[in-house]
Parts: sequence; C-alpha cells; structure tokens
Amino acid sequence: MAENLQDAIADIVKSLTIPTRIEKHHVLISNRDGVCLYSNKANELNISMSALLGGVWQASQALIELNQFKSHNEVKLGFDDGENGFCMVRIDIAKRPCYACIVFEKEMAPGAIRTQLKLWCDKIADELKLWQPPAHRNGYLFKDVTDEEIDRLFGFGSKECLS
Amino acid sequence: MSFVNYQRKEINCKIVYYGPGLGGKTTNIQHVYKKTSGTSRGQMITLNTENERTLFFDFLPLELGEIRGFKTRFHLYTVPGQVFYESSRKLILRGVDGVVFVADSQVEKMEANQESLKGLEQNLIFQGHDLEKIPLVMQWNKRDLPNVTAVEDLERTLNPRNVPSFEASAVQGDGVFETLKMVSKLVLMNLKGGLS
Repeated sequence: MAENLQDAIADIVKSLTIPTRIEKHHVLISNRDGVCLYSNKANELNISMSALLGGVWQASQALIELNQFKSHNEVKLGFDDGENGFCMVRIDIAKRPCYACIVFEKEMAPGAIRTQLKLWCDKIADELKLWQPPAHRNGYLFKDVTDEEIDRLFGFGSKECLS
Repeated sequence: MSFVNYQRKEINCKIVYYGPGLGGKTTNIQHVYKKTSGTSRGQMITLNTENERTLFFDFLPLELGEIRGFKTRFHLYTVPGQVFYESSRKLILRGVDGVVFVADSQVEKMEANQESLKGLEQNLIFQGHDLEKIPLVMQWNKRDLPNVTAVEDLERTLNPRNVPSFEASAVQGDGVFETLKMVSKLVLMNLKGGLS
C-alpha cells in the first residue's frame, strides 16, 4: 500500500484511464499546502503552479466567507478568455482537501473539460476513500543535523559559488 | 506542513519570511533566487502591487540536494507586510514549518517590528503551533543604514526567547544565506517521523 498520497494517486491513475479530452492539457493535483501530488506532464513549473493553486483557492474562499456567502452547489474556480486558461475544483482525497486544476489552450468547451476533470478526480477520490497513511512514525526524522551537512546542502550559497 | 515521501525519499518543507512592511522579506528571497543555480531553484512567483510591494505572496522553490539520502525541497514564501493584509498573512502561514522574522533595524521601525511580531505570534497560536517549538530565526536587517537600533536592544525587545538571530543587509546580500541555513537546519531537525 502506498505510504503517501503522491504514490497512492500515482497507483490509482495507472489503472484509471484519463479522458483523452483532458489528457491533452496540463492536469495537476495539489494538496492544501501547495505540494504537487500529481501531474500528467513532467514540467518544471509544477512546483510553482501547485503553490499558486493552494493560494488562489484559499484566497478565493476567504473572500467569499467575508461576504458570508452560502452555497449548496460545488464551487468551481476559473480564469480564462473562453478558450485559454485554467479551471480548478476542490476534491477531498482520503478526507484531505486537495485541488485539481486543468490548464488548457485552444479548448472550445472549457465547461465540458471542467466537468470531465471533476468526474475523473471523483473516481480517484472514490478509490482512495479508505486509504490511510501508515501509523505515525515516532521520533524525529533527523537527529543532530550538522553545520557541515547544511553547508553541503547549500553548496550553491557558499562564498566560493557566488556569481 | 512538511511532506515526506519515504518511498521516493523526498522532503518538502515550508518556510515563511514574516515581518513589517518594507523590512526586506522580498529582498531576502530575491537574493536567494539571484544566487542559486538554475538547477537548485524553480520559478519565482511574485504577486505584487504597482509599486512592487508584496500584494499576496512571493514564492521560491529551492531544491537543495540530498541530506542523508532524502532529496530536500524548501518552499520559501514571504507575506505582505502592510498592516491591512492580515487575512493574507494568516493564509500564507498555514502549514508553515519554519519562520524567519525579518526585522527592520531602523530606529523608527521598532514599533512596527513589535506589532508585526505580535501578529506573528497570535497567528501561529491560532493555527495550533507551540511558540517554544516552532523553528524561528530572527534577522536584524538593514544593518548597513546609519540610524539603526543597537543589536542588543533588538535582542532584548524582540527576541526574549533567544532564538538564533543574524545581522543582515539583504540588499547587499549579507546575512541572507546564514539566516536561511539556520532556519533550514532547525526545520530539518524538527521533522517528525523517525525512520523505522
């Protein structure tokens, strides 16, 4: 069983066919903290996009809550010019709030792909509804991190490496 | 909140630069961005106003390499410092693993520093953090300016817990990496989840 959501989602996606209509676009799933859980395209922008997804959704939610807006419908968030842009939906995977986003280009029916995205993500959520992370590991991951280890990690930041 | 993938051996941690407006938070991560090689950092995101003050947040992902077999990724965020962006600061602090408080050393900014620090503490408590345990580093920025408060006074007023602190001039790059290295070390040592 996968130990974390990234691997759990990756395992499920292997068995679920991503609809062709959305597969041609860039699909991303991130958790609430902006960590990328899944992307259908290996893209150096995935990390930054995931961070933005979390911020954009939570800021929008905060804005609505200020107005005490109550809705019984599922909320969607979008930014497009009719055929280029992105849309995102919130999905709960293993009881954890996550955000699924599709960035599209030259798409004639953004509403349709948003619906397909939601349906596909609902299948993932359904497969993972009983998933739980492994029992809590005790203690600290690292003991006594040394200054030398940190210096090696930041080797690019040492005086010798400065441009 | 840190995200550890034991199978892929990856760690993702969130560090937030906090402090009063125009104190040097964005300058800090801009310096980090400028000095890191392309393979060690991702795309920097800046969401700012017309006069380039942070509107929502700045974001810089750093992929630093490995520590004890774990690929380590730090997500650096800054918050907007102006007083009326309190809602945004609360959002950006969610899931934080470590904080750098960037204080403006100028004499006339002491009150702003204190207000901002108080806001940080309140926001951290509201989110369930233990102020004694969360990795926190103080940075006394703008030491290059002529009219600055003595470091001893900054320490006494703003650092009663004696967390690690560094003098800095972010605009010149001094103290930026020292601060970041220390908060990174504290964050890594605070990560839960010992290897079985």
